[in-house]
Amino acid sequence: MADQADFEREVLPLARQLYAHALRLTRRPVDAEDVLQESYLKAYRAYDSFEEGTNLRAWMYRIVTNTYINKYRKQQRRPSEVELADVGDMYLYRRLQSVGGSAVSAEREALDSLIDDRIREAIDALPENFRLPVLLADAEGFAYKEIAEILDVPIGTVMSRLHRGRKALQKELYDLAVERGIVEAAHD
Amino acid sequence: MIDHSACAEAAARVYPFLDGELTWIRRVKVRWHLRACTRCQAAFVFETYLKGKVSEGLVEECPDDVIERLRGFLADNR
Repeated sequence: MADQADFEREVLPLARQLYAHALRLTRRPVDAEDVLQESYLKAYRAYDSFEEGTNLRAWMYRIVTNTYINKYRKQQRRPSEVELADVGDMYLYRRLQSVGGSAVSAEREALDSLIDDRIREAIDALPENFRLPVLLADAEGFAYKEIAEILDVPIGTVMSRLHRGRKALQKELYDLAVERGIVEAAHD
Repeated sequence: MIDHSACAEAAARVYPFLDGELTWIRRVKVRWHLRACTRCQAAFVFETYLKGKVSEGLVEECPDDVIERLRGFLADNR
């Protein structure tokens, strides 16, 4: 059993990364700070039930993620799962290759010119069930097992949502590239 | 000779491969294939690059005053 006296020493050092996570989830600094504070209060009150030796970081991410879901999910209009684009593996690469010649550098250039400012927008366009595992894997580098723990879903579900979410992201990025005239639309 | 069913298999496993989540034997199989198949190798290089770009694009900073206010908030609500 964890001692609440240890709370600050153990849990406060995670605050910066947890704030960054909350900000990626909410996209608004003021909301991120609310989520962070509420999560820390919940964590403080539940800290004596935290089992020492288990994954404290994953435990805190779970609290932050659930706080966000409970607070904000209802207000948001997000695309549903059925609207998620279903495309082939390595969709973006194959599309860029089919329109831009064969050199890897050409695909990279296309990617570089659109990705910096639009990547966030493309990720935020994903349905929440897919956005969350993508954020936890790509922004935080969590292992599948940890993501399963944080989101309270089976590991197979994490894998399939990551796979589908990333493919849909590739479609989104490709569409952005076409929209911006970085590549010409391929003729099907 | 390149085994093209291995191309589909490698493509289907690209994410667990990049995430370091394949079992040892599957990882070795993908590596062998990438050594033999330059097309898949180029695609994997691109996917690796994309994953890095996505991570970079998601970086957020935490201002110091957020931490100060959090400390104050916890002190007040204990």
